Amino acid sequence: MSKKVAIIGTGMTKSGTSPVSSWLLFADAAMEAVNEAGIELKDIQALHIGNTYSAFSESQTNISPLVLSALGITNNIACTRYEAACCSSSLAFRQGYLNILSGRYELLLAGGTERLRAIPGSAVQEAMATSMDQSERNAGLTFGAYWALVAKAYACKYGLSDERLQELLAEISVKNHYHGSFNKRAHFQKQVTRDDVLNSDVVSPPIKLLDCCPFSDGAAALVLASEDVAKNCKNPIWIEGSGQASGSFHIAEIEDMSTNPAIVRAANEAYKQAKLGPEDIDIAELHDCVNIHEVLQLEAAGFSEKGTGIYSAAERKTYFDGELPVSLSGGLKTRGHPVGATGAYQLCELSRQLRGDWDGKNATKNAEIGMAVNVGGTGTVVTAHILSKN
Amino acid sequence: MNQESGQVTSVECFKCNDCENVTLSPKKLCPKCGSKAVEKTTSEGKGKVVNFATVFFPPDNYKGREPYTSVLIQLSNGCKLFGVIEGEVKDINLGSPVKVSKYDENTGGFIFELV
Repeated sequence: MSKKVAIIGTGMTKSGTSPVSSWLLFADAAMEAVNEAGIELKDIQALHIGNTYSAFSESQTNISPLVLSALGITNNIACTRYEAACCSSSLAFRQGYLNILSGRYELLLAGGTERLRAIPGSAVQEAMATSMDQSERNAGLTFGAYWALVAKAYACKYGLSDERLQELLAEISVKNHYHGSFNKRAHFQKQVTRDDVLNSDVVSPPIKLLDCCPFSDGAAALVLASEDVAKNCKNPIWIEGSGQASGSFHIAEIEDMSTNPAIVRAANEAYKQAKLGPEDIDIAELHDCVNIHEVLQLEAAGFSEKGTGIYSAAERKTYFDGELPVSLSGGLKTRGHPVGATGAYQLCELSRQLRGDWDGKNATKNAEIGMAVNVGGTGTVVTAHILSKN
Repeated sequence: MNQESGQVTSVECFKCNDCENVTLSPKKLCPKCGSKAVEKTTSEGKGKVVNFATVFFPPDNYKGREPYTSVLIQLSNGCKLFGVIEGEVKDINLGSPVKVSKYDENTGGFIFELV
């Protein structure tokens, strides 16, 4: 059994609109990761890949052997595709990690890929909605409406007026746009003001367009190695903890929408394995599909007391120079949300931030330990990973 | 669900005979207490508003009906479910009394009515 597992290579395509298929996109990201790791493609023993919508957006299923074909790998290695909505690629990463930890493999490729902007926006929305319960979709519920319900439940619980809630949420978007403006792979590299967010189109009150992330195309890949292999590599990033949990599938059955016990459980599992707590985390990449979700994760992962996560960006605590820089990538809001690749982007970005070769906005403080939280659907599938450079 | 002249007269739900928890979706085990004694039950479809969100960017099956309001209600037996009230409803509040009025054949969802 390998005692530890490390990330020894990372690769990401630019997030945005891709002219090429998801499998060709992933091949680009994988080559970057393999080159960074200083290994040969033929040495890879297995592929674990996340993808969510290829059946809808590219009329193609069974994409893991197709990715091997695009890479030109012909030695019949194992390959597996994972689907859990927005959490697909961190599940692929986690299963790759557990495969090495079991002692069965020494070196493998994990990550995710998505291309959905080639189909009309309304078709993307229809495809996205299939991650929710059919009877609740039939009842007119959309992702935007779900996040409106969450924001309203949060505001009701902590006594915030609609106006105050919207101002504080807008500050989170402003922060993520600021960080993302330095990320050359981001879907949007543009700063916005609080008024830009507050004056953007209404999606579902209190949620406005600039509270929400875009849908993006993109791929991200990581080379994972056993301790024996990784100790001879330069700059390995060690996986200290990995947690996974599931939340209520039916929104009507959620007890309290102002929080998510699945995030608590996934984060606690990762903390327990790493023998660390929230106070030990220097930087984080969180899943801000809509900015209120960043608040829920700050609280559920123990970074903020309940009812206070909403103030984090307004008080600059989550900026690059704050006490816990959150989403130096720009988060889903600006890096973008290539759904089945988003978790892998977070892990690549966090690895580079910890190694000190992140080419976007860096944390002012010396960051040694980081956490990535990736959430699928309406909080239904959650992973939390703790990475360390030592 | 049962209907009479287009009006919903009852809603089918699933009730735990041990702790009385009720859900709209069927379960093998009660999600509250773990009991296997979960059975079909019906509700007359009257309850109160728990939460609501008005939708301005609708999915395809609701195109042309925006804005509409997606409403979460709790029936008198405790079962929670979603349905639609047409328009951007101004006179809706948490706790407002509401009833399941119609089943929309086009969308497969319930239409609610404030009472």
